[in-house]
Amino acid sequence: MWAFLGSDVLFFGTLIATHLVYRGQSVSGPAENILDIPITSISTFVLLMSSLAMVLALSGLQRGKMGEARFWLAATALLGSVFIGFQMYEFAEFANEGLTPRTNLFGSTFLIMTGFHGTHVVIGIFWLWSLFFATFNGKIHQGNSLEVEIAGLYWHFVDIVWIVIFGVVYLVGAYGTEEHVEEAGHAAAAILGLG
Amino acid sequence: MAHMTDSHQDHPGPRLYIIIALILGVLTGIEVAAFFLELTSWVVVWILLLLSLTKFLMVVYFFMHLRMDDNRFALLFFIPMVIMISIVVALLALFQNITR
Repeated sequence: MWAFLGSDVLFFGTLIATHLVYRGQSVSGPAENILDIPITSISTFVLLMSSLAMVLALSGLQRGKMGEARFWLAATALLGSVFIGFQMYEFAEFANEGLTPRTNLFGSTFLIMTGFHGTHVVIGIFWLWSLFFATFNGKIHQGNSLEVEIAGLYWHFVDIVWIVIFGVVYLVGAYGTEEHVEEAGHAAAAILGLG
Repeated sequence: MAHMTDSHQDHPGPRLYIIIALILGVLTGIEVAAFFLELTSWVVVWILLLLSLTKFLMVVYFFMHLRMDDNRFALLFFIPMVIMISIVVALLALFQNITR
């Protein structure tokens, strides 16, 4: 799983890098100023709490408390679903305001990047529910908690990818208005020694 | 998973996980507050990057148990991370040249 996560780091790294390279380059349509930071802050908090639920599920299973493990597995999957709900709302709002993957560079790079992240979350949700139901037929028990720990690694990875996207793309990338985007870009370049 | 054996006795308990989650929540709140504060842009960018890095490492080391795992797992994860950061920096450097 760690090897897979290492490869996924490169996958998301490429998507994030592409978005950053084209930041502020859109010549038409809505761009960085369309991002709704308060709403995304809430969805970020929801995803962080799903990571807490995931470790509590594993902890419960390792201590042989099956009821606790089931409760937190279901909670993790539900919190992941809430996050996806926020993302669907965000995408729908963007479409209403005229931003689609074909609108401009921001639309292409942002929606593909966050869309792939959302796909990872959806896969994780299906994985979590399969583990949840497997606890009832004895396929998941205290003796093979490694199965849940592997799923947990995947879930936490999805969380840390979002931590990076939220910090670098939403907050740094959309620091207020378009002027702020340019200022933030220069500040980030200076920090990286490129300015 | 991460363990070479199936022993998980060294995993921290729920109490530590809850404390870590609360800290992550507070750090997210500080990030959002910094975003809306009228500060110099480089200060805000520094704050946001440092807070994101802190949250990232806390999840990796505590929730993903990397601090208790075999070092080879850390290498499998952090070597691609270094490559990825290098790619981002290189592309941003190229981008800067193109737009000037």
